[in-house]
Order: sequence, then C-alpha cells, then structure tokens
Amino acid sequence: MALARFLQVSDLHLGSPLGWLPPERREDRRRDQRATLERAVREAIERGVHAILVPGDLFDQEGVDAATMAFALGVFDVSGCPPVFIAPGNHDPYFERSLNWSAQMLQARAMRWPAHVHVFTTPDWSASPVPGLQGVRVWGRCFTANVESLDRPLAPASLSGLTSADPVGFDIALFHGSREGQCPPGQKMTAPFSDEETAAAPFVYLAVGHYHAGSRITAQTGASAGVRLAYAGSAAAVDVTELGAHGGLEVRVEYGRRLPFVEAEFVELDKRRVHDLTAEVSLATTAEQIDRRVLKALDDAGVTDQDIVTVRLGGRLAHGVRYAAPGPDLRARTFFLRLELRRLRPDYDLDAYRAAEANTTEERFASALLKQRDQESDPLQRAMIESALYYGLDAFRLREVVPAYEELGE
Amino acid sequence: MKILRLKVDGFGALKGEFRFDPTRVTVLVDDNERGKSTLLAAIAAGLYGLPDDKRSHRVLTPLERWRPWEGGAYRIELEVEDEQQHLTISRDFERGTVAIFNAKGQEVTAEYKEGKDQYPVGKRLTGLDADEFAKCALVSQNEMDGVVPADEKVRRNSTLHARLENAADTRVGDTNATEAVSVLDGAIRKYTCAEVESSGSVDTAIQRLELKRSTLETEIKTLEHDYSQITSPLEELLRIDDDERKSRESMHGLDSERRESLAAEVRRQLADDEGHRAELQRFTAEAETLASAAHLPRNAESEFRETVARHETESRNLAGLESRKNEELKREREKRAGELEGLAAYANASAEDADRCVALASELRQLTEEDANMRSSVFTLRESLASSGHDPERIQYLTGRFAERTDTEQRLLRSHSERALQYQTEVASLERARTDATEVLREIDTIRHRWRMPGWFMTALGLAAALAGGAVQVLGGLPTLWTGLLAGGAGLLLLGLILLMVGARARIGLHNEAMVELGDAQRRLGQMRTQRAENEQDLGDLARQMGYRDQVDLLREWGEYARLMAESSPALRAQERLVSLETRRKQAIESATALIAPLGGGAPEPAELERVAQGIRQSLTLRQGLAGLESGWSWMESERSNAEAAVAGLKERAVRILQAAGLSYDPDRPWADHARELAERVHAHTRHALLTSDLIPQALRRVLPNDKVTELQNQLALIDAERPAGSTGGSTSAPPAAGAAGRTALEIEAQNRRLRETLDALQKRRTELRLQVEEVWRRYHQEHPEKSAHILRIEQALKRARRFKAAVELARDTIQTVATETHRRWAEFLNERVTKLLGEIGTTVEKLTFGEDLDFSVKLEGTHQATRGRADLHLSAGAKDQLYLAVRLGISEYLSRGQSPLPLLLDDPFATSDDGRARAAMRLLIEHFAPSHQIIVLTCHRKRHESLAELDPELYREKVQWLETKTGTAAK
Repeated sequence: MALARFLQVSDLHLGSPLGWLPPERREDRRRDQRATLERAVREAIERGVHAILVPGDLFDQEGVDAATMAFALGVFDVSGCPPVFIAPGNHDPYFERSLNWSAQMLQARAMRWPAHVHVFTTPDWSASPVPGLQGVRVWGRCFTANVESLDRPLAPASLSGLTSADPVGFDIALFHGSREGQCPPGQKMTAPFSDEETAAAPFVYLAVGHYHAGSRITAQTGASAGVRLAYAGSAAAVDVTELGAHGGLEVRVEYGRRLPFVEAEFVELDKRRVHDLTAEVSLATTAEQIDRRVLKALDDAGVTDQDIVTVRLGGRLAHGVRYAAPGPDLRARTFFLRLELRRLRPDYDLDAYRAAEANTTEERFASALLKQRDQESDPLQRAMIESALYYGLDAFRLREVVPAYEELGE
Repeated sequence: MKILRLKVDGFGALKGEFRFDPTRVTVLVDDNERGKSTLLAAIAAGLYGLPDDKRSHRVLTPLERWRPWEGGAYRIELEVEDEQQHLTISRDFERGTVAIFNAKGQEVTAEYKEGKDQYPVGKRLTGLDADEFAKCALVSQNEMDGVVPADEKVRRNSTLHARLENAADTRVGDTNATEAVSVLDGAIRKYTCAEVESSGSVDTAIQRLELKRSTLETEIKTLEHDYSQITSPLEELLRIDDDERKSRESMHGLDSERRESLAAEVRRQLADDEGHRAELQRFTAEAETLASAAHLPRNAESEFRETVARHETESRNLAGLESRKNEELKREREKRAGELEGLAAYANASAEDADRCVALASELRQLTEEDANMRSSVFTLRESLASSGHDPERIQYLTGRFAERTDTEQRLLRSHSERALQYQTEVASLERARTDATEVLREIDTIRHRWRMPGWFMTALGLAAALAGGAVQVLGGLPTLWTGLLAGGAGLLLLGLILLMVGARARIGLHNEAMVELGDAQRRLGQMRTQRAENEQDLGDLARQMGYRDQVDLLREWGEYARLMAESSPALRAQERLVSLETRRKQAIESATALIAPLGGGAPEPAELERVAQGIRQSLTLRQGLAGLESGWSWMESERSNAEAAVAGLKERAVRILQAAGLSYDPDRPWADHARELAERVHAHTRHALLTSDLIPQALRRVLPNDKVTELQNQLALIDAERPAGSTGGSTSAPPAAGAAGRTALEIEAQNRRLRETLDALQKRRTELRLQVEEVWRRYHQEHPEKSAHILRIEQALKRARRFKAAVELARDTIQTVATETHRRWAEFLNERVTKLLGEIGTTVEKLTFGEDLDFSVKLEGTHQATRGRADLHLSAGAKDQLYLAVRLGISEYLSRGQSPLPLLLDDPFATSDDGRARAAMRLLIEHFAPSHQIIVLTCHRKRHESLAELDPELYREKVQWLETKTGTAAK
C-alpha cells in the first residue's frame, strides 16, 4: 500500500478590501491572510505532502495589488515547497489576459509563477500528473469569468472527456463549485453539483472550494472509501459571519492493491477565531454597565484578544440611556468587535400600551403606531414605525429626541 | 379601593395610627407643617413604595426625603380593601422589606411582586401606577397656586390649560403634545451627522450625504475606468519588448560598417593636417614683414584726433571767460539792492528777535488750543452733571451748608455709616456670645439639679431616720431598732450631703468661664450702646443746629452733598485750569505787542509774529549775500590759468603721440596731415596683430600633434590589417543592413544614433508605461477599497438619516393627529362634567366650555361667554380654586374610568374660598363624591371646618369623620 498526502487550502481571498473591518485593522488582517498562506506552505513542507491543492478563490478579484501579487508569487517559491495545483474560482477566474494568471501579462510586469505551480486554464477538465507519485493525476477546471455559472462540473457530459485512471495510481479532482442543498446564506450558487453526481464521479477524492465553512461527503463504495469530497472552508476568515476556526485539510489517500481509502484532517491555519455571542443588557443604566455585561459574555465564551467577535445585544435599556458604540476597554478586548443592536429596545412597556384603554394622547399615539406596525408586513417599515414609536415616547417622557433607534430590527 | 388604616412608625415628621371610616368623609385637622402633606405621601408610599433612583431624583430621592427626622424606625403599615380583598401592607423602608397579608392573615407578598423587587400593590388595586395615582387621587396644597399664577412666564407654562393639556396628553410626564411635537421638530432641525460634519437639519444632512455619495461614485468610476484601461499599456509593453530586441540586432550590424567608415575618416584627418601645416608657414612669413609696426599703441590715431580737438576747444574758452565775469557781477548787485529796499523796516532787527517772535507765536497757538479743549471739557462735565439730575443751585446750596462745617462735625457725619455697621456686627456677635454663655449656664444648672435632687432626698431621709431612731431610744424601744435607725440615718445624711456638695461644685470651671463671658458680653454691649447713644446725641445736636428736623434729614442731605462733591470735582478742576490758561495768554500777548512795535507794529497774533520773524531772517540773509558777492568770483582767475595750462598740455600730448608712432612734428603743417600719416601706421599694426593673435594660433591649433599623426597612421594600419580578417571571419557580426553598402561613416553613425535613440525611446516608453501601469494599479488598490468602504459608510449614514427623518416625522404627524382627537374627547367629557360640578358647588361660573385645543372659555353668571384670559381677570382666587378642584375631579374621574373608584385625598382645597363656596364644595364632596369615592380632606383651618359643620350639623354628624393628624385620634 502507498500513501499520498495533499494539503488542501482554498478561499483565501487575498487582496480582499475587508471593508467590514475598521481601516486601522484591515492591514493587520491582510497580514493575517498572508501569514496563513505562509503557514500552509510551511505545514505542507513539514508534513511532507506531495502537493498543495488550491480549489479556487486564492485571490479576491482579478488584478490584485502589486504587493499581494508579489507575495503570492513568492510564497510558493521556497525551498522544499511541493507542487501546487490551482483551479481558479469565480473570484479569480482565468482568461487569456488575466493579470493574476496569464504568463504574458505577468511578464510585462516582470513577474512569473514558479515552475512547480500548475494553474488549470481551461473550463473543461484537464489532467496534470503529480510529480513523485506514479499514476496519480490531478484533474482540474477553472472559472473563466466572474459570473455565476450553471455548468454542472460533475454531470456525465462534463466528465466525458476524462481518460481512465492509471491502474497503478488514482485521479483526484480540483475545482470550485457549489454543493446543492448546502449553500450557506450570503454565498452564490455557482457550478452546482449534487451528492449523487459526486458519488458517480470517477475521482478518488474531490477537493472543492467556494463554501467558506468546512464540510465533507463520505462514501464507502465507488471510486474510494472514506472522505469522497471536502470543502476546507476559507483558510482565514474573510467575514465576521464565518464562525469558528479556519484552516485547511490534510488529505491522505491510501492506495495500492485494494480500494483507495481517503481521510481528511483539519489543520488550523488562521490564528484568529470568529465568535457570535449574545448579551442581555436589560435595565442597564449606563453605557459602562452595558460594556461590562458584554465583557462578561466574552469572558464566558473564552474569547481571546486575537478573536473576531459579533455580540448581539438584547433587552431593554433604561429610559434615557443611549448606547451606540463600545467603550475603549471593550474595544481593546478583542481584535475586532461588532455590536449588533437590532434587538436592543428602550424600556417602554409596549404590552401595557397595547392592553390599556387609551385615554391620553401618549397612550393613543402608542396604540396607533403599534396597530400600524402590526398591520405592516414589510420588516423595514415595521422597524421604522417602531423607531417612530420610541421617538414619540422619548418626546413625551424625556423631552429629548436624539438619533438612537436606527439600528432597530426584528 | 378604600383606605382603612394607616400606622406610621416613622415617616418624615409623622408618627401615629390613623383609622379611616370609608363610608364617611374624613376631615383630618391639624396645624400647619405638622404632617398633613406627609400623610398623603405616606399613603402613596404604602401603596407603591418609595423610589430610590438617583437618576430620576438627583438631589434627593423620595426614600431619603421621608426618612424620619428624629431617626428611629422608618416604617408604615397600611390597611386597604376593595370589592375582592382586604390587605395589610407593611413596608420597612429602613430595611427595604415588604410584607402583605390578606384578610385571613396569610402572607400574599409574592403575588404582588413586579420586576426585581417592586411591590406596587396600588397598581394592582387601582390599575394606576404611582404617578398616575398621584395625579388622580392626590390634590396637594401647593398645586392650588398654579391654577392661574400671577407671573406671566409661569402662567404660560402652568395655566390650567397647560396642566389640562399635560393631563390629557400623558399620564406620567408633564409634557404635552405641543411640547412633544416641538421636541420632535427640534430633533429634525438639529441632526448631527459625523460623516459629513453636519449639525443642521436632517434634510441638509441627507443632501450632503447624497452629494458625498455621488462624488464618491464618480471617483470610483474614474478609478475603475483607469484600471480597465491598463490592458492596452500592458500589451504595448509586450510589443516594446519585441521592438527592443530587434533594435539591438540592427545595432550589431552597424558595427562593421562603422569600422569601414572609421578608416576613411583617419585618412581624411591626415590629409587635412598636411594642408594646415602649409597655411601656417604662409602666415608666419607675413608677420615678420610687418614687425616694425608691432609696438604702435592700438588707440594712437583716436587719441591723437581727440587731443587735437580738445586743444582747439580750450583755446576758444580761454578767450570768452573775462567778459562773462563782468556781466554776471553787475546783474546780481542790482537784484539784491532792490530786495533790501523792501525789507528796510527790519534793518535793525537781529536773529534773536526773529526767534522770540516764533516762540511767542507757538505759545499763543498752544494756549488757544488748550483753552478750546478745556472749555469743551467744562461744557461736557457740566452737561454730564446736569444730565445726572444735579441742579447747580442745589449743588451751591449744599456746598454752602456743609463746606463751612468744622472738621469734627464733618468727621462725625462721614463716619456715621461705618459706626452703624460696626455696631450691628459687634452687637450680633456679642448677643451670640451672651446666648451661648446662657445656654452653657442652663446646661450646668440642669446637671447640678440632677445631683441635688437625690442629695436633698437622701438628706431628708437620713434626718428622718435619725429623728425616728432618737424617738425610739427616748421611748425605750429596742436598742437594735434605734441603733439601726440612727446608723442608717447618719449614713443617708452623709450620702445626701456628699451629693449636694458634688452637685454644687459640678462643672464649676465651665460655670465660672460662662459667667465671665456673660459679664464681658453684657458690659461690652452696654459700652456699645452708650457710645451709640452719644453719637446719636451729637448728630441730633448738629441737626438741630443746622435747622434740620432730625438727624435722618441731616444724614440724607449729607449723603447727597458727599455724592455731589465726588461727582462734580472733575468740573471744578477743569474750571480752575481754564482761568490759569487765560492769565498765561494775556502775558504772551503783551510780550508780542512790545516786540513787534519797533518793527512796524501789527496785531499780536501768531501769523503776524511768524511773518515778522520771516522778514527779519530774509533781511539778514540778503545783507550777508551782498557782502560776499565779489569774493564769489575769485574762481574766475584760477579757471583762466587752468585753461591756459590745459591748452599747452594738450599740444604737448599730441606731439608725443606722433613721436611715439615714429613720426616727427612740423609746426608749419596742419594737424590734419599729421593725422593721415598716423592712420597708415595704425593699419599695418592691426594686420600684424591679427596674424600673431588669431590666424597663426588658429593654424597652429588645426595642425595635429606629431603623436596624434603617428597614432592615426597606426590606427589606419590597424584597420587596414583588420579588413581582410573582417571580411573572412566576421561570422559573429550581423550582416550590414540592406542598402547599407557604400554608406559613409557619418551615415552609419547617424543610423546607429537613430537606432540608439529608438532603443532609448523604447526603454523610456517602457519605463513610463510600467510606471503608468503600476501607478494606476497602486492607486486603484489603494483608493478603491477605501472609497468603497467610505461609500458604504455614507450609504449607511444616509439610510440612518432617512430612517430617522421618516420615523420622527411619522411620530410627529401621529401625535398631532391623535392629540386633536384626544383633546376633543376630553373636552366633551369635561364640558359636561365640570359644568355640572361647578353648578353643584354654587360658584359664579355658570358654564365652562373646553375647545379641542383644551383651552377654555367661561360663562359667568349674568355675563356672556368670556375667554380664559378675560375670566382670569374676573374670577376671584377662591373661584379659581373651585374651578381647579372641579376640573381636577373631572380629570380623576376620566382617568380612572373602568378602574376601582379611587380615594380622593385633598390637601386644604378651600383655603382661598369664601365660606359660602367652601360650604357648597364640602357638600358636593360629602353628598356627591363620598358615595362613590373615599374622601379624605386635610386641613389646618380647624375653626372654619367646625363652623361649616355647625352650619350643616346633621350632614356632618352622619357623614363626616374627624381626625387629628398628630395623634390619629378622633377630633372633638
């Protein structure tokens, strides 16, 4: 029996603008992305893998900045780096004049990809042998335009051009696509494929990119046993919604005289983790109290100062308490903290307004807006009406109206 | 809900237990400030607890406010009932505990818990929260003042209309719909948007945000356009690479051609060199023939001609000098004699006289100016005094009265106010000291009394025992009995005496100090009073002496005099200064008159004085000029001798120039012949100089050095030697370009230069393109993310601003719509109910009509409907109180509709009503409100309510319960 090792890394999105981060944090995060890829190459060398597989979206866009491009060209150009196979994805598609991939265009800028980096440049499947592994081939396909594609890469028609695998070795697939029924919210469905198509495909293993959360399909029959297909997820979190730890997969394929067996092990590469927490701040009377409750929620969740965190505040604030942003202590507690205020409400007893007989203008005002809100189906309009209700009650109760309820939502 | 009992263990100044009969009107009677209002607060606290929130009660929280003044327990117990339940509520505010028991004695506290630790029992019983209960059930005394306040500003905010509007618009706040709308409008007008640094209206912020977004979008589109254009420069870069390679190949081909042309060039240089050497020999020979004129000065001819011309000019000048001198002298003498005739009056005046005239003119001008300024100041100061209301006659009168007073009298008047102040200050401190000492003595007496009472008692007991013992002994009683009595009596007597002594000596030191301090204070007070009396006596004497009614009149006029003196002193000083200036001016005029009299006289004015001074100085100058006229022409002699010397010198110089050129001077020949000969000599000299300085050196420079000639010959030999090898073995060199055969070296060089220029241009273009591409690239990647993030922020801010505007406008419009409807409902209810209530009270108000704006008009008996403003003027204070009470009762009924009938707690509601209306109002409460509401009236007007009770004895006996606030017991 022989053992083939691969390191699968995808969806790094180098050169992403990272607009969700504050300007002073963006450069830090870009450094994180670069460090992640460096760590991936180092892991590949230390683990002795036979190839690095990059199933798309290495870059965030066509034509990244010069520094990022220089980094990407240089990061694989280190001693001991195994062969690298790249299948461009929908964010960094291949085309003849691509600034990321075209050898000619790179030459015009006095740049080039190292010789051991193989980029798949056709939308049809093409194969490239893995040096040092006899009979082992990587089949890849690329995106050719930054648009959603409805081509089914694993449909029988798409696979008709494949030649049969070498009986000594095996074939693996490298591509960017969407597993049907598993598309996470906020991601585009592109190059779709089904679990059935995966099971019928002639590949021992399919390294897929596009989804930023890791997932896998296992099988015991067909071309191989064990893990048949896997998404490694984004190697470094590209958005605050990508929860948990991030990294790549070490894929090991045992092959030889019996059915190849595939296993995949998660390799953590991103030093930061992403959390999504909730904090109840009802009846907090000062902004400092709210900060303290959020700090407690962070402590309870074991958040470190390296992490990226979303805290969803909920509850009712005492009258007159305004809260729009965290204080300096809280800001310094994490690498990036996003506060979600949609569920934060002032402490007005709307149920009482709803239940009581409306005699005064204030009660009748509240009652009228509550009724209007109940009849409204559009969530945005409902939220706006709720804001109007709170502003009116502030005018009656506090004699002060300042912008405070624009973040309200459902 | 009914209040049955209130037990107060400590709440402000209040203590005691109060039992209320809910079937009757309770009248709680007590003096002012004895706890009536506190009792109302205690009832509310029993029902709702006391808040301790510093944020809503910054100065003093209710919990702190009602803490017992004398310390101790801070606790109340309230017993209430409604249709369903009977509850006893115990609240210990010191410990923060609450306990609620039902009629069966079971604890039901947990059933009333709300929030973290709130037990608002009242809310459960009445359906109203604490603020609402206060608004509906409690009518505090001080609210009466606010019905129609006297002050305009307060009236605007606190009129019945405003209060009614507040009540109609919100249960708990004191804001009404108008104010709420105003607050919302204000929020729209003042919206802070940090993204565009706007703090104006929300519309302005939205406009600026839209503009900013549009600008950013344009910038992003520009960036994207620039970025999309870099493909073409990149392709051009690729083409340039090809062109550069081809150019380099062509340059290699030109190398061989250049070698050929180099050989031809060397041969040409050698041939040229031979020609140059022949030319040099020819120039050298010509220079040797002209060597004799070599030393002639270059400017000899021009110098000679100039010298001859000057010699002839000087000879003509010498002849005209003498006649010119005589004519000038004669004309000057005649002119000055004429001027001196006009200044004959100043013939005897000196320069000192002129200086004095100028000095006097200056002094007169200065005095005139100062005089004018001073007069203006005096006028202004007098105007100022007059405008301040000071009558000049009054000033004169007061000055006459007080200026002649003696120093002692003036001192007495001046120091009176300081003495009075000192007296008051010192007397206050002495009175305080005396009071303190008295307090100390009183305390010491109390302490001594505590010792002496048991002392006297024991002494008396001891004496009695001793006497009893003696009696028993005398009567022959049991020895043990009389011995015991005698011993006990002696012991008690001794103890009593000791106690008496201790009491007498207790705090003796402090007692003595207090006595001394008391004595000192009293003595000093006596002295002060004596001194004050003496001063008063002196002032009285002075007042009588000066004819005043008393010292008050005297001091008032003295004060006026002192103030006038202080204010008019600048005017007096200015007047004195004016007199001094007039004296100085007269002296100056006298001096001027005396000075100009011998010089022809005239007005003693500054202009005349200055004219005289100018005449004197002009006369002196003319006389001096006439004396020195002859001596001024002495220069003429020296000039003539100079001219003669110049003529001789110039002739000698011309002869020397001729001799220097190798020519001899012949006096018989004209100067023109000598000049022609000199010109020929100069021409030969110029040609020699041209040969030696230019032509020969140039020819020498053109001739190649021998080393160079040898080098060229070697180079030619080398090229000739290379040619055969080049033609046979030049495989590495590129073949000459097509059509290059037969090209000259210059053409080859030109071609090479063109190629090199092309190469340079390509390299330059490549650098430019690369820079251009990299710059666009850099700018795109640097600015695009920033601008995209910025536009995102702007869009979020825009979204927020729009949502804020929409929300606030919706709130405002809804409040306006709803407020009109609410006010209409209130108006309908109150029109009917309040008019009815007022009719039952028997007030002069026949009808009250509220409009939708909750303002009202009043119809008084026998008059037309009057607006609120007019009614305010007509209504008495009592009528306004009744009006307020009726409206208040109406509001309470309206707000508590659908709830359990509320108890009404009224704090002296008829304080300002006349007896008739107070009686009617009490009857209204007893007969109409008491059946449905529990009524508790608190009053400090005991006699008035007693007299009301006497007027309706049956009614009060059956339906009124009397209570004392202090004790909670039934009043008599």
